[in-house]
Amino acid sequence: MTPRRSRVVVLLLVCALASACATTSGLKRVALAAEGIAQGLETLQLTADALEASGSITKAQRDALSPYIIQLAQADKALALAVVSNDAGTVRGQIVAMLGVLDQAVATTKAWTPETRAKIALALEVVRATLLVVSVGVTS
Amino acid sequence: MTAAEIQIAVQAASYLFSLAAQHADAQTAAELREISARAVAITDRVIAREQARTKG
Repeated sequence: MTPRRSRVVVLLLVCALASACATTSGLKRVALAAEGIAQGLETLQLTADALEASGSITKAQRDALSPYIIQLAQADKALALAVVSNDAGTVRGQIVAMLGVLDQAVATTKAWTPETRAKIALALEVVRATLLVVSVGVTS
Repeated sequence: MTAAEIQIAVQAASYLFSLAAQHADAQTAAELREISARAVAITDRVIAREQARTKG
């Protein structure tokens, strides 16, 4: 095979590989985001527990966060499973739903002291940022 | 380059594309399952802890 012919084959192969990679990298990005969100939720949970243990928030205030943490974790689980089954509709739906639940969770901390809110806000914003990053190109 | 040679090159590239795509799909599917399993394990832990707290 002449160098010119080799170049044609290599060029076609590179195009093929680039095409194959382009179709799969998006899913991996969402899967990694789902894992990152899960870690963020665990951080949120442990932060809330620590705030309660230190007396920064009451048991009632901690309890008020509980349904949102469960909803977010369930939605993230559905998101992670949807990635494996390549269910784009569920991925989009769960991301939108989680952003809504996150807003509700933030709203429950409105009555907290500014110092305490700042501590939980960090954990909440990590989850929100991960959702927003992954939503680019997914929810459109 | 003759038309026949181009045809052979295209067929070879097509075959290689198929192989590459199959390999990438298999590798990515395994990776996705692994990452997803890790995410699910964490979310299950979070939910279980939260439910235990509510019951307790």
